[in-house]
Amino acid sequence: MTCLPKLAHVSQSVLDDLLINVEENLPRYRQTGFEDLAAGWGWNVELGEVRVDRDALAALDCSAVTAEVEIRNSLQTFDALPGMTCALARHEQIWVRLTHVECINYSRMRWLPSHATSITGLVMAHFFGGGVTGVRDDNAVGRLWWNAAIAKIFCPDDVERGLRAICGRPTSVQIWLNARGSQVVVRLHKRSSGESRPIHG
Amino acid sequence: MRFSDSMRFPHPVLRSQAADFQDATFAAEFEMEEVTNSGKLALIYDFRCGSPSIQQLLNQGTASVGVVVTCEDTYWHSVEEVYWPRGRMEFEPGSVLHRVEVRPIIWLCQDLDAWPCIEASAEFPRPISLGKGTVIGFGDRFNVSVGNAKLAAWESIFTLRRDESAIAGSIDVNTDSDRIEIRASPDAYDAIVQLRGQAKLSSVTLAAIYLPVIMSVLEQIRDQSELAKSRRWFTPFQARCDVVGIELTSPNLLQDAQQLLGLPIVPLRRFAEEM
Repeated sequence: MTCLPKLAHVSQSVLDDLLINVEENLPRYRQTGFEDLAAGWGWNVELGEVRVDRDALAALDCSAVTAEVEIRNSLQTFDALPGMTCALARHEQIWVRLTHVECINYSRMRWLPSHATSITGLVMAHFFGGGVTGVRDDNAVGRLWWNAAIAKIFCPDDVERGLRAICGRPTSVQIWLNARGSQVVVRLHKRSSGESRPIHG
Repeated sequence: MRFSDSMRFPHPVLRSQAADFQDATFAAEFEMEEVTNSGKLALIYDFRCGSPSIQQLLNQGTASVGVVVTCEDTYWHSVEEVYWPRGRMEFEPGSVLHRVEVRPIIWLCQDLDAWPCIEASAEFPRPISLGKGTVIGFGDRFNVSVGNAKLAAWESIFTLRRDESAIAGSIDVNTDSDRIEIRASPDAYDAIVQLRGQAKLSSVTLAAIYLPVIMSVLEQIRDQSELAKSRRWFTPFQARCDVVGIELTSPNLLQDAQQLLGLPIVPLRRFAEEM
């Protein structure tokens, strides 16, 4: 296996600029992207301990919005970032870099409908990750990684099975979307599998 | 197992929220060692058990002591058995971040028949016989803040905004934004800018501007915590509160605001002397 490159994130000042300039950058979110800016200062702050499989991220499926696709994309994102930890994955700058550079096509296709007249709110929600739950619940790529990370917490030997419990059942999805506290994960686990396994082994 | 301060037990449990044991408590002091670059974290703990009967169980190995660790940011939830009465516990890098709740706990590691626990309230029928695994004591919840959020400068959390519609000479606070906005009428805005521009007047700025503003922020978090949590300023603000032990669900507005600002009143004396 070839050595994967280190994962990069944006600096705080780049994040601040992107937040201020969402309106001005709408054509970039719609079509042209950020490749020219991404070569500049503050866009490539490397995280030594995490690697990134850019090919796997570029291959995220945006052809349909189904549980199957969500599960596949979640596993693919989780595997594409070896070395990522739950603590690192709380950092908004990591996911902002991925939604603006490596995964911009996926993020755009999945969350910015071509017919939408105003996309500012969608960009703020799915290309950034503000607040306590933004990177976990809303960021286009962060939520995929967190899906798998949480599935792994309560189903450590079979992440896909855990993902099916979360994504595959309407009742579970509803609870999932309402609140993602640790208590909810336990409840989901009991409802979906009937087993009693501690949250962390 | 999750603990709440209002839990009830059919047997005596040593804790501060109930009088199961007369004049006795179970307390712990925690100190955190953190290497922020690597994410390494260690907690140094020192337990104090006020019940001689439970202390005896701990000394002879009939009971164990541990720490319930919960981090909602990373979904970490575990019970770590630790050495009695003091020691150090380490966490894997990357396992916890931001607010981490720790709560000391004592449980039986073997069955206990006819326990002669003389400190337990007379309300509990004798003899007291308990099974292996029964919780017999827990301490108060203690929050630590892990990571760099607690180091965020106030300037990165607050922003001053000129508000033409504000009542002349007044300021207001808007927390429904990514930074906490201090909205000032034009004349108040000019006065604050002038104050902030002079380093020797920083104590005046803290006491006259930030103190009431932070009181208002604490009040808004208490009343609308979900809204606050959706904003970027919340995590660093909460982290600063955790460092000084402020409980955001029931703040003492004036006292807590002073703690957050490092007691800004006394430095005013130097300013008065220089005048």
